[in-house]
Amino acid sequence: MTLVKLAGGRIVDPANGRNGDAADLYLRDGVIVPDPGPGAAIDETVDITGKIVMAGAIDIHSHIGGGKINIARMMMIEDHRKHADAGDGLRRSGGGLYTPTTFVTGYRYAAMGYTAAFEPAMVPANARHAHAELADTPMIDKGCYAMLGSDDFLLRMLANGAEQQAINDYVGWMLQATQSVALKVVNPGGINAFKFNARNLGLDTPSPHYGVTPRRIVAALARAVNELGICHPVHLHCNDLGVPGNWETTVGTIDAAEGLPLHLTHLQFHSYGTEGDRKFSSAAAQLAEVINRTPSVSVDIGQIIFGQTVTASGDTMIQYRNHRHAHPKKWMCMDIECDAGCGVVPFRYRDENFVNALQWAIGLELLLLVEDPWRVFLTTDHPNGAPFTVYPHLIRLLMDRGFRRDMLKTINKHAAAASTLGGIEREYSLYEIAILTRAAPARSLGLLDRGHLGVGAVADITVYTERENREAMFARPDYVFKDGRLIARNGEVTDIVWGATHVVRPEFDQGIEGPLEDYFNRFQTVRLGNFRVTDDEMEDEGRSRLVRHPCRRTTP
Amino acid sequence: MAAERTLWRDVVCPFCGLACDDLAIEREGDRLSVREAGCARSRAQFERPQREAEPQIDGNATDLASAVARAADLLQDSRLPLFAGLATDVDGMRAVMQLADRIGGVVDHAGSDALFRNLRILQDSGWITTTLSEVRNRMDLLLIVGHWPEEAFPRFIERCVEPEQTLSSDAPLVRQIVRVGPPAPDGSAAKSGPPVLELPCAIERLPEAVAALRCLVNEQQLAASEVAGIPVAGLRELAERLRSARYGVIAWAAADLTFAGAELTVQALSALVQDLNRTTRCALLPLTGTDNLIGVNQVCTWQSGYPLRTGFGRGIPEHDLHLFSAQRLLDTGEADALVWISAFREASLPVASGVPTVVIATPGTTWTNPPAVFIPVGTPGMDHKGSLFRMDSVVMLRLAALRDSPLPSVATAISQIDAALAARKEA
Repeated sequence: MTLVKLAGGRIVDPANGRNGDAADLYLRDGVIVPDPGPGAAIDETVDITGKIVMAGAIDIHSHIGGGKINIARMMMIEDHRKHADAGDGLRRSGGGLYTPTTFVTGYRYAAMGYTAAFEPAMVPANARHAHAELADTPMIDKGCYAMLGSDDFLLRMLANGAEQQAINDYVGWMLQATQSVALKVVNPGGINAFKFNARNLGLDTPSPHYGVTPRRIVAALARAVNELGICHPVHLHCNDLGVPGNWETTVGTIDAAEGLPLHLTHLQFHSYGTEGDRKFSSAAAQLAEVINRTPSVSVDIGQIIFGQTVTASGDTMIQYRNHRHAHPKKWMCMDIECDAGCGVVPFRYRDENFVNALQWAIGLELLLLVEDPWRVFLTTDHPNGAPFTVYPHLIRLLMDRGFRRDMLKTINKHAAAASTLGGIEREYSLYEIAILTRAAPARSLGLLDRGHLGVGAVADITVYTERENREAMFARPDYVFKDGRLIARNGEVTDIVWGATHVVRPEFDQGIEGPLEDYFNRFQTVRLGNFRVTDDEMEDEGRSRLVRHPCRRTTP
Repeated sequence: MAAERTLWRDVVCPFCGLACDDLAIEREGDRLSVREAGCARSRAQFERPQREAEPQIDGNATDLASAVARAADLLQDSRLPLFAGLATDVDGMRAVMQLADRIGGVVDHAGSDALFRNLRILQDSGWITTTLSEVRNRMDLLLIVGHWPEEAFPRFIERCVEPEQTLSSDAPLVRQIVRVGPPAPDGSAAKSGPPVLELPCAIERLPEAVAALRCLVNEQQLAASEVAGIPVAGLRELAERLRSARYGVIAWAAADLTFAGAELTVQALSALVQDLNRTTRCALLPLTGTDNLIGVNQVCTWQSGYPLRTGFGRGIPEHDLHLFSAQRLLDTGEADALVWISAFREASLPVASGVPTVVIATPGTTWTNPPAVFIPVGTPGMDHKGSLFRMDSVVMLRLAALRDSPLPSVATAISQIDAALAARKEA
């Protein structure tokens, strides 16, 4: 019941149009409350005069838990040998830079001013496991995107000419059964096709066995999400990730959504042309131009930062293809439960390497050329492009043209010459950074009371001392509040809390359980009732408080 | 008065790594009976009588609070406490990890020797694997390396190899089954089930057979006419079948591979599968996971960053599969307290260690010398709810409480010890 006053901060809150005006904030019972007026009993005043106040940051795409990440941890024990964190009575021990343990994941996000992160590739068959890891991830809010689009059930439906309504019911059922907040599609049809030994799948190529094209899958699922009224659009990892020339697939995929809302994830990996001596070039300008004129599309970047990491993806087709680039030389792929798959390939991005250097430049080009900050989100596709702990560095690259140009001088000179990055003048403002990292992801996910600082918002708040060196500024916020509690101070965790799990609950016809039960009984090795993750088990441990988000259906 | 009867459907069986979840179990009072599905092992375990049991200190009955306090004494005095056995559910392992982290313990599972025969390969070269439903629906060739899996994984063939229908055909899929391994003791190939091409080979000669098979898959010349007692013509036939299969699966139980350097044979299988995937599809299926070995390893990994055989003695997690082997720590006397956990099956305490021992196990657990502390616990999936992982490491299943039990879970027992130690530290 205590009333806390954050006094004198400069409020950067784009959702409410506030750009640095000095004002006090009042927190009570975990939410932001109105100014109680003169004479009100303030239990605690925190003087933050002149400091920058933003909502807690939200990572819309970060592989923080579940099967493939745990395989990556197991495989990359060298990461844990190098980066071990001791426990201290408050915090549990753990470690890992690019495959952090669950506890450490929560601590590092919180220390950096992030109060939510979303696991974007949960294989439905692995849902219970993913949620178990997230239940052991403290400090932040969480949520998962269920992966569909290569599952045999959906492909059978499409092959048999199922009605859109039935597809909607299936998607709705699946999101509820797996306690998800959004729908993910990875290499539509491609993961399934790889199980039939196809090594690539073009947007208009009928898939093996089912004869369904990726275009059809994208159209059906984009429509399902739209008609179910799920706030976040289909979160789409396009076909042909990493393949030179794939920018045309990306443009084709935008067309495939037929004007319905679409989120293209880790766009950097899908923005490659085939020009130049090396037949590998940036198509960032072309794609940014398409995105700028297509308001139904949002993107996140999947920026790479040089160094060792590990790639963990549901895209077995592409991970298998890329295994020859594994560094160190080990890799795994797994076909999963007639559902999807996963592949883990360690990778070291090198600034002296032409392709890697150009990837770095392409990500930044996209971030700077996509004009509307409400439709572009800051991600490294953790850990695929880099661990999430590089975000402060990445923010500096966006905000500081001189720094960016200095960095450009250090990369492969052919790549630097091939990139337009050096000629781009744009510098992000603090206001725009707050859009990218707070307001826009919250709005996209439908988190109405997060990502902003208005009255009634959840008191997830980050306070920074403004510094010219934006990396230093964003790496160590002065204060981080989660649900109104101070959890980190000067970049160090000071208290342990357990965030909520965000889920959507679309309406659908429960009759879909008839054909689903028949399918599970005939083909699967798990029964329908055992597959479903219930609210009771989610909330059993008192850690995973569910926040259910309403859905606004657009058709009956 | 007749005892109340309840029929539970779609019950998950926690007694091997298959974790079949299609059992029907009837409860009559405290007695459970498997009515549908199941196997000899599930019947033996589910239908075992519910025993009365009280905690013990030095063999004398006591109450739970006293047993917890005594266990806390032992751990407080210990310089290197060892948590071993670890046959427990996910929540039990979570509690163990928290306690081990707090007091600088080491964690190791009774099945770790076999686990690391496989995990070392994931860590050194990686692999291509598959899961049970993929096997059930897509596999057209099964190669079993080692023993026929019926004893260790009784329903593997029924559930994954001989389903009535698959996604690709309404009729049973035509599947070839080949086994390279020792003949069954009675000389028969397999006691039941589908026809199998047998290439008989002693377990300890599997490295030779697998190496030769890999040569043949890669169309290299072999001068020998026989390898590991198998005619090369037979191996060549198998190589050809693997190359022409659309979705081959190679399955083995690492627990069977008890010869020195067995991980190199797993590595050769992994390399063989990688070779085959240049032109077709083939995947590995490690048969494993009994006593929630996979689940316990998963929890250890997501919390510490390392698989089992991890210690917290220096404040940070450290892992070494030799250094932190439970057997080695007991043999050398480095561990000076042992917490032995076994919540699934009724088993004997296998470790005759000289160190003070806390046994947290099912009531039917037996021993030669009574441990310092015994805390009887319920079995997840019978006496209390919980969760576990299946062998393929993907599917985690919820276990139900099928009857009322006065016994605590492993998680409860360990958490009480943890709380007692935490309270002392504060005091």
